[in-house]
Amino acid sequence: MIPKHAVAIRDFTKRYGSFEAVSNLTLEVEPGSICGLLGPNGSGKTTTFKCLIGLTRPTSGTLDVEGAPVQPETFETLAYVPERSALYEWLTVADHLEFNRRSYKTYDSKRANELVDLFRLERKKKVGKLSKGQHTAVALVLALSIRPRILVLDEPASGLDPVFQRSVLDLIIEAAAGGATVLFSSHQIGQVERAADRVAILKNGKLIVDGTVDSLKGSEKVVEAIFDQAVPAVDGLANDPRVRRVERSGRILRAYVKEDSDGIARRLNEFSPKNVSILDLNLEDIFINAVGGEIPMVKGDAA
Amino acid sequence: MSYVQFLRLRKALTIYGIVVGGLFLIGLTVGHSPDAVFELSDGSYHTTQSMTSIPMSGLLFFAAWCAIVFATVVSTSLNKEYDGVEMVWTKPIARERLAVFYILLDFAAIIISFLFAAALSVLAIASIGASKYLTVDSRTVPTLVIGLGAAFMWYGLVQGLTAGQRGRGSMVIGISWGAAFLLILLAEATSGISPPIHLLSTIINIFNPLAYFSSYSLSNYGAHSSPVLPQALAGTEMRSVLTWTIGILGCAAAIAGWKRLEV
Repeated sequence: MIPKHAVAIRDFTKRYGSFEAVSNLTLEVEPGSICGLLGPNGSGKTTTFKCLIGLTRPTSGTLDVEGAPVQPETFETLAYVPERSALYEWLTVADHLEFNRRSYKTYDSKRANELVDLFRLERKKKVGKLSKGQHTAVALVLALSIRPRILVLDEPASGLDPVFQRSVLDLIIEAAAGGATVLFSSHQIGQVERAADRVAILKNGKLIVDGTVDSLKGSEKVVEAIFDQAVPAVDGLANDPRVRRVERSGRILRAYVKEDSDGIARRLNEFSPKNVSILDLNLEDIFINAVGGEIPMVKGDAA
Repeated sequence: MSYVQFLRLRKALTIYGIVVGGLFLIGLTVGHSPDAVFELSDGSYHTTQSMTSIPMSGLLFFAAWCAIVFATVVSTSLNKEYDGVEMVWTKPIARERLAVFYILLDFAAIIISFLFAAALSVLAIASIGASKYLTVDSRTVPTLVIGLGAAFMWYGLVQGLTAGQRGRGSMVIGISWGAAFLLILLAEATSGISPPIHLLSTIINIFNPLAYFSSYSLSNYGAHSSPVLPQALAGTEMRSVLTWTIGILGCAAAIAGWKRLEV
């Protein structure tokens, strides 16, 4: 029986002594989807990944991959790219590929060679002599060369230049198009917005945003007013219960609106702006709104 | 799955071969003389001309010493994996099974290091035209069993102490050598040491691989007035069993510690 969720994390808590790294996290990822995990440093992303793949044990809760906790056999179809390099500095790129070939039945040498060429890696070069970005590239080659059904990537584009970052996103999207489920974290919100169809934002170990990118973007609006002169004082706008926050930048005023964006637009029109428009939030707005203050969880539609 | 450990051991054996082989070559070049003097295991001195027999146990004793040094060098193989643990623990193999593979590979490498040193010893004897005097004496088998046992025991103890922790493997190896010699000195001292401390050191020496092996040293075999181990362990069979048992227990503890480790 095919499980409904490729990854199912339920009521997961991880404590280190008195410090709670992750608190009561529930996150379910559908097969074939791309879920981006966002959050500031120390928000619990890496801890969640480590518990999911069994590198550390949860304090409570369950973390299942394809319907069961991770077992050694799970890694025939699950590939993990850690945040920090776990490669052997004294081995060459070719040695690492050979290690993978000997370890996986599903290893695809043709695919591995394509990826090595894509990232312009030198096969005979020792990993210790590679740059940080090339370390990441080798880790990605190893992960993708086994054609995994589940990909868990912790900061997969870390240290890569913009061109290779784009390549990594393309590979993630391509893997998902081929049926793989991707769970990845990133500090680059643009990357997540481009690749992910589902976003979860963690803050202090708690899930504060979870939903599809489209539903989250549509959940709030930005009312943007452009004035000819300096932005006038709009009494009480920041305290309006319909408004989350107000930003002023030169002659532009932006109100981040939780509800009744038309009403807020009408109110701004009273100040005779040059133009007033109602825009969708972008993911960066959602992220800043979420982690910028003590905000209750925003729940978007599930995929 | 243990391909990386195979490569690591291949590298270690290559360095070991260069060092031990180099030392042999230097020894042969400098010391090769028709009047070379040899000290045999019974404490007697001979030249090539006066020699009547060269006991095999003496060569094996030397080979076992080399294997002991090599065993301690490779004894932190599980601990060393900590830096790349995300790589090895996300392979489709159970951690304990992987640990067993590592230990078996290490053990095979220890035996190779022993055989290599033994072969070099035989070559050295042959190069001075004395191979006809080489004889299998009564201490050959005990030296082989206890020598390799001491190497495996040391390996198991360090592996057991380090596999379940992050880093500090080299530090443990260094301390183990210092502690081993110190305990031997304390147990061998016949004056200036109070009897309780002497007794305590002989008891602690049960976990000291050198204590099992020192009784077979070429110069002092059979001449111990102050045994470094409790009298109950004087028998060869008992010592053989203990070295291998402690080695196996150390490896079992290492596997359990590695399995429990979190990163």
